[in-house]
Amino acid sequence: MSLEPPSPRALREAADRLVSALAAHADPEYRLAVLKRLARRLGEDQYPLFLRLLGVVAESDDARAQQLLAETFGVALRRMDLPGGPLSSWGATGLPDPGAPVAASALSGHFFGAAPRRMLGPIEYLVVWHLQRTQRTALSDAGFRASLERLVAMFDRSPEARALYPQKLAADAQNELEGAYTRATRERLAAIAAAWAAGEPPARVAEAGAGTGGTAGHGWVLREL
Amino acid sequence: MSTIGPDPRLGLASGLDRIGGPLDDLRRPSGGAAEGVQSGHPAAEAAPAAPLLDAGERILAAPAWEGAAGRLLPGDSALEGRLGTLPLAQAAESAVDAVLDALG
Repeated sequence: MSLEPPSPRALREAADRLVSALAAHADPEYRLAVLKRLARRLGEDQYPLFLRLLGVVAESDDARAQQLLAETFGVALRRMDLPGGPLSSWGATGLPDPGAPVAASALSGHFFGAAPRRMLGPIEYLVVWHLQRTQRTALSDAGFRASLERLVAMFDRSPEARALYPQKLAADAQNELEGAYTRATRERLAAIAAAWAAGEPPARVAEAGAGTGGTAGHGWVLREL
Repeated sequence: MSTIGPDPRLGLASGLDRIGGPLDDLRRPSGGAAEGVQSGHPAAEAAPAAPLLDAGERILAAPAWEGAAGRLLPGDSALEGRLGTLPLAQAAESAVDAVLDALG
């Protein structure tokens, strides 16, 4: 699929079909399967397009569509199975278990040379893309804020997503062991979680994530190797 | 005292001249990742440097509502009805097909 942005009409059509597809069955597992398959079939480089489709629904005036999507993310959060996208991450290691036989797949470029990639949920993806060195050029501050605000506003449509996503981010912020996040990223995740859990409006949550509000009020971006 | 004299082939100025061409080629913006790199040439300096923007960010910022009358998603009732008749696994796969088809 092309790396060029789709036309406005194509974006609206795709977002509309996504919502109709989710509405076709009430089964929450079906709905989650649709989102996960869509993220997977778009491909690793196209996860931003998946985020854009979520954003189009979030930008719409269709509260029912937003609620449907948000509730599906609530299910994903309950199952700890978010539709994710891959980013190469600081500190991640691809070292095989020394006590186990080495699978042939472990000797791909992810072991020799290329940085290992981690699957990240929508908000975690935005934060890491914005703050850490990844295979992508860093997401700008404006792009980060706008996208984060849209997502938070939409997830607020589901009480389950609204309750579980901040908890998930707070837990991620405390995890220093896996090396997926730098200290600065963990601070921002914690700031987002705190502002969101405190009931701040989406714009304030995005400000906290950008480091200009909430508990991370430094006003500048930290980058770590 | 050393009897080894300077090698005329190692002239510093001429050596830099030799690599000057390739370096200029490397500095020249050629699209993609090289965008935004200053070439040092007056003509290039006059043009504003394009910001280095990830392709994913361009997609993330892609306009969706230009030419639209409003911001309501009308819904695709035909698709919804068709998927509703399919078993869940098949419906999920067909749903993704439909979304990808819309994106071209």
